Amino acid sequence: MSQSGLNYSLDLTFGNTQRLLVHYEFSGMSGRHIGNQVEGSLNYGVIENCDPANDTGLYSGVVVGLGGTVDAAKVFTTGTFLNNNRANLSDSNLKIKTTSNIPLSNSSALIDFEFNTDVTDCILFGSLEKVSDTINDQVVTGAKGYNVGITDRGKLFYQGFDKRGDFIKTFDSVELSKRNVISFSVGSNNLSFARMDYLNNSIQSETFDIDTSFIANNSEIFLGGSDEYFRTNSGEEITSKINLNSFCLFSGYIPPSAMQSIGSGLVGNYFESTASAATFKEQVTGYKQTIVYKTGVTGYDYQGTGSINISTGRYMRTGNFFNSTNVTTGEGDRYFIYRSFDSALSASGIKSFVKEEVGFLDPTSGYQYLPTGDTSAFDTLGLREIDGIVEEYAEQVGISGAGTVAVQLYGSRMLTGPTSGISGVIQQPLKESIIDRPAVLNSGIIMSVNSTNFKKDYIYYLGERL
Amino acid sequence: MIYDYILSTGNINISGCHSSEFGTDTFKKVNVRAVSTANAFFFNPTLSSGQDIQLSVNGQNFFQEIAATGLATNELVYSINTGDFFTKGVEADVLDRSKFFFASASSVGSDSSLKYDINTGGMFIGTGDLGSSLATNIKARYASSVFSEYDYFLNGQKVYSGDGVEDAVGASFDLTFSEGVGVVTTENKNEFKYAAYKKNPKTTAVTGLVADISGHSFIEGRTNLYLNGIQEFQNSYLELFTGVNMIKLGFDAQISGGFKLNTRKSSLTL
Repeated sequence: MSQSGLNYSLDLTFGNTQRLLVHYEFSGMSGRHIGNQVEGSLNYGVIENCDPANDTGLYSGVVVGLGGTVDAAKVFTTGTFLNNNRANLSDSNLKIKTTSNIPLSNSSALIDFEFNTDVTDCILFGSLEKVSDTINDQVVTGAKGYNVGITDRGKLFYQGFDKRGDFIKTFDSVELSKRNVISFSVGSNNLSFARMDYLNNSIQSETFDIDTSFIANNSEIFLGGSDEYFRTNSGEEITSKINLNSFCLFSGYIPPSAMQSIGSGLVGNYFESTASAATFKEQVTGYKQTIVYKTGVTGYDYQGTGSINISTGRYMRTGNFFNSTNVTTGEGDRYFIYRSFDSALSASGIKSFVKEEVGFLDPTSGYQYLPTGDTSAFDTLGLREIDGIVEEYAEQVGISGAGTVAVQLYGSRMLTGPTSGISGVIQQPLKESIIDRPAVLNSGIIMSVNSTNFKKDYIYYLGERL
Repeated sequence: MIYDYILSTGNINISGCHSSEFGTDTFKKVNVRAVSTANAFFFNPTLSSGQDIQLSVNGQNFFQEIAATGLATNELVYSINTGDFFTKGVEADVLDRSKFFFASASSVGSDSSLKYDINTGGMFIGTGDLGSSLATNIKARYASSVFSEYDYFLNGQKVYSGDGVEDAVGASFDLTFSEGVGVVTTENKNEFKYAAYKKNPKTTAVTGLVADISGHSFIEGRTNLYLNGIQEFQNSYLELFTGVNMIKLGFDAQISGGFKLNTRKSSLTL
């Protein structure tokens, strides 16, 4: 019951509202303009064709029920015909004028109505008008438009006229509720009836074959009556006991599935929520590839792993020198120089020394000798008759026990690391943050309308009653 | 004749009539016809999630039991004890996963008419006593159960409070199908099995001796009728608006009147 809801659903279905020729929506009429039509000396109220119709300047509806002064017509329209945000077709029919350009053979309508009392036969949409011409003394009958109404049994029907004469198609597979959203679509030799079951989210529809080539346009369309109905003489005569919530007439054949979507906007309410914060998501922009090399043995390293002592297995000579004393000797005389074994060997417990017999040379001589060539040794060597001091030691030697030798041990260890072989490639996605849902208004249709009248409330048992 | 209509009332607004929050999104899970071919019957596996099928076979309620499985040589063996049928899971081939398998004593033939509802509230069965085992099973899942929260069946026929079953103690919820309120006695108790189904939310039951009912708003298509405890198919009744005249006398079947000449002229100002 909202113009904005219908606008939304039409935009969602067709992308625009151009196919909506007529839209009457009766809620909130107190704040809207009620037009006026003069017919002879009488005034009649006019319901404007309202948004989102393609051209709201066309196809306004005339409340034909009570003519009079301008004030009387407006009082009747607002005080009687419009009742509780609905048009009461028990009080007056609504006439759509100047409809000659509406292609009735290729059009669709969506109607939201409810019964205000018991179900009686009536016309919802009346455009049928039979006309006859005399050609060469022959009376030829044709027809404009068609009627859509409800039978006493509560079934939608289509009344038309084609080359075979009058006919009626009844949408008898569906039971109407108190309130109903129904559609009919005519075009391409098809007639589709549909009832929107919004409680079960389903469509109840039926399609008939008709000859649409015999459907001419009509200059007037009535809601609630028809120029061609079995118990009335004019489209202005009231036939129904229904309230009209809203009415839409479209150009072209619209399938029932689309009508269900459009109808949700007609019944439900449009909503817009405040803009929520934008949400982001990561998007892959490419990949960074990293080559992974095989790992393996790249070499060996030797490290000390400990030590062992190895017994030599033999007795060893050992000894020492000590008690240094200075002794005067002459140049060229022989004496011993003592030297100990190195400390490492000594540390093993084996101590010994070596001695070397050398000739004494006086350090003050500058170690320059002048041999004379004489026969004596002194002359030959150039030695001099001079004394010097050397050290003499007392020696102590003996045999040690079996010696041991400490040996350092080493072990090998593998060195591992990357080798030249390739084991694979790591592919790492590169991402950037993009807007997943921008900060925009959320909108849609909410079906918060009271469901009571859409429900059934009567079960009739068909079996034998015992 | 006892006419028992189960009506889905839905919610006060339209969207609340098919809302998962209200548990009213059951429009595809009620009155589903079982497809049959070659003497086998199938259900829609997209609607069922396991043990939730309330099956009607020619109007008689059949209880679904989760089958015990045993492994024989190259074969999986299924067995049920108290139930009337079982379904297979993902261990079976695709065709068998949507097939009804009936207990050997069941009289289901190719000429049987099967329909089912999906019941997610819980289904319980008991046998061998006067009804206390069924109450025990129910309370094991819903400790604070109330008698009116369940529909009760005695050998597949629906029974009603005071007419086949009643709350034996009252406050503590203990069931009895015994003589006085039912046909079960201590002598014949082993011949009966009792089933109970938790009622779906947002439903109402209208039970009485009158065939037609009115004044209860309900969602079209989501209704069940039990006639003397035997479930009827939906084509045995019409779901209507009370304003509809089922029978109207004294009117001719005339559909068209004479031709009229429209000579009115008018001007329109907005």
